[in-house]
Amino acid sequence: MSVLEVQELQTHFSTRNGVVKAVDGVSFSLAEGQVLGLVGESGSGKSVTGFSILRLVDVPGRIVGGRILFRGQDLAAMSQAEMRAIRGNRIAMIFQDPLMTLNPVLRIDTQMVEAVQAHHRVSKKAALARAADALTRVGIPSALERLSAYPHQFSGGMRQRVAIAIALLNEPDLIVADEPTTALDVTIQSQILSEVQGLTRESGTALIWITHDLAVVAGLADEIAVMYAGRIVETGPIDAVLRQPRHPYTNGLLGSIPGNSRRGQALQQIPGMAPNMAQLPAGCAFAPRCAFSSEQCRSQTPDAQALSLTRSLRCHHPLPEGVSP
Amino acid sequence: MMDLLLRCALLALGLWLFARALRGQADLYFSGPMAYISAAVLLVFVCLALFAPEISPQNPYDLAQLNILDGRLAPGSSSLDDAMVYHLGTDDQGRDILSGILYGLRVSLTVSLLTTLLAMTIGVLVGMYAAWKGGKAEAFLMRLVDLQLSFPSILVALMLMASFGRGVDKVVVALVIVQWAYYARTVRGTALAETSKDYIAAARCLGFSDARILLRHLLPNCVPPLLVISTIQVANTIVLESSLSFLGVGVPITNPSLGLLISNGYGYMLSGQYWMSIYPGLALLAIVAAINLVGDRLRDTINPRLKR
Repeated sequence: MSVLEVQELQTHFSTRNGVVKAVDGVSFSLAEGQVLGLVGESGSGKSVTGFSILRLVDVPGRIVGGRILFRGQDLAAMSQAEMRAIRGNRIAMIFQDPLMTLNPVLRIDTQMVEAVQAHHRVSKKAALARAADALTRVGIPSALERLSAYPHQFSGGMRQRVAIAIALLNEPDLIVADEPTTALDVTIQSQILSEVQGLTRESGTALIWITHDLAVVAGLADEIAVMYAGRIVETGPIDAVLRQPRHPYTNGLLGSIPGNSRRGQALQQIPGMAPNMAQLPAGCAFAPRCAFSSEQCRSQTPDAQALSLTRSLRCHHPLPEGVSP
Repeated sequence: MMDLLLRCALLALGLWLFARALRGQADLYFSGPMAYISAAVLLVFVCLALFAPEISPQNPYDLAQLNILDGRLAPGSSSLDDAMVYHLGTDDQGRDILSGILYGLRVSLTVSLLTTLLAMTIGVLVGMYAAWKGGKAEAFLMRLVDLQLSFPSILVALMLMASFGRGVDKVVVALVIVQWAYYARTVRGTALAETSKDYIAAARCLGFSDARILLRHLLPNCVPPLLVISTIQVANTIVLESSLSFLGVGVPITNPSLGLLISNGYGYMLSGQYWMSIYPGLALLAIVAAINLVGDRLRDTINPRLKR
């Protein structure tokens, strides 16, 4: 049974320059304990997708279409009060910048106890015990003492651990992580990645990991969804997609990663820039940057086509099988 | 007796609030001689005001105690019946200036503290509501603030007092009307900046109610600038109230504040009887300066952004 099933989600922003379709027909589903890597460039709509799931898109953004089925209930149709009961309880979120996500004037224990008591009728003592337990689980030593510290007494990596501990507090079914390791240095990043991986395996929590770093998802995710200009252009099991990308964009992303095997060669890069979301070209949004684009690409938007049971693709001219990046 | 206890409790409350605001950072606060001096001066003035009935040699409001024959005596002269020495002289009614200052401090401090508390409460509520709500509500409230701030406060206060008539309560109301807008504008600005930060988004992600996010997460983060303007406003309010009283529309003549004492003695300045105005003036200067300095130090100590 899938924890989350997003169907044809559309989140649009009405701006002075017209309607920006930040998320335009995104569909995916996520089973218990599964990790989905949502990958794309800045402005591809991956963060907006994450915020849409929690229904926290700020004006002028609005979810204009689609369904977000969380354990069979449509989040998009829920009242604010019902939504509040789910946020932080059944679905938690982790943010990018750990220096900003903790309230600077409240102690860690205050913030954690509050997060527990917002959803459960437990005593302060029980909530504190839970908080200490969560801190221990994310690898913070002497959790009981650290509880009474203020956020500025923690380093960036420690703060992100605290943020993850807060997300874990109420044992959610789903965690949406919006580039949580981007602001951290690489050693801390790998520590946190392996801890998160262990925690989700252990508790069966589904995880959406939003990032622009393919290397991060490669080791973490089960599934990958590559977003471009508000659409998922390629999705499938992580190994299959990374080993054999079928969309030219995915291929371009993989080609632009520096690696040992191509030492001395110039890095390939995708020509051009991410499109202006207010003035998307007709047809395939990637066509202007694509080496394989044809007349058809510039006039007709490709539909999602299933390649197999688990993989799907939006491209008129998919790369042939057997080509590796 | 009850009254005395109450005043002691008030003093204790003030000290406790001060200690709590410092919260273990006393060494950071007391990092220079000015910090000690200003805090000590303020404490002395507050004690003088609180315990004026016990300290002052005379009750300046009790007309039966005044002797018109003691009028306009120079500092250091004795009363006609040799019962007391007027260390700071007397005014034209034969009122001891020292006692007048002590009682005047009470009026000035009460008015300014009450005004600041009320104006701050109203301003904070309006400002946070505007920042949170946005749209038309924000536009309306902030234009109201602009309108309020576009008039000089002394002018508005003068007009209000002219229509209200004299009285301590009326002064407070008039000054609140004049001052709430400062707080509203400041709080809205800070609240807007703070609302866009991730920890507010994170609080929303945790499923907290709006009221909870506003009061427990947003408000404490808006405090540092509030603390600064509120201490400056306490001092400002003392000055403003004194100006109103000096102009003859403030507190009633039977209940003189520092400003009214200055005003009363002002007519005798040119005839060399300086003490009726100068001593209340010095007291006013000292307390306003002390409050400003304490506020400044507090801001430097408390603001987590200025640390490290």
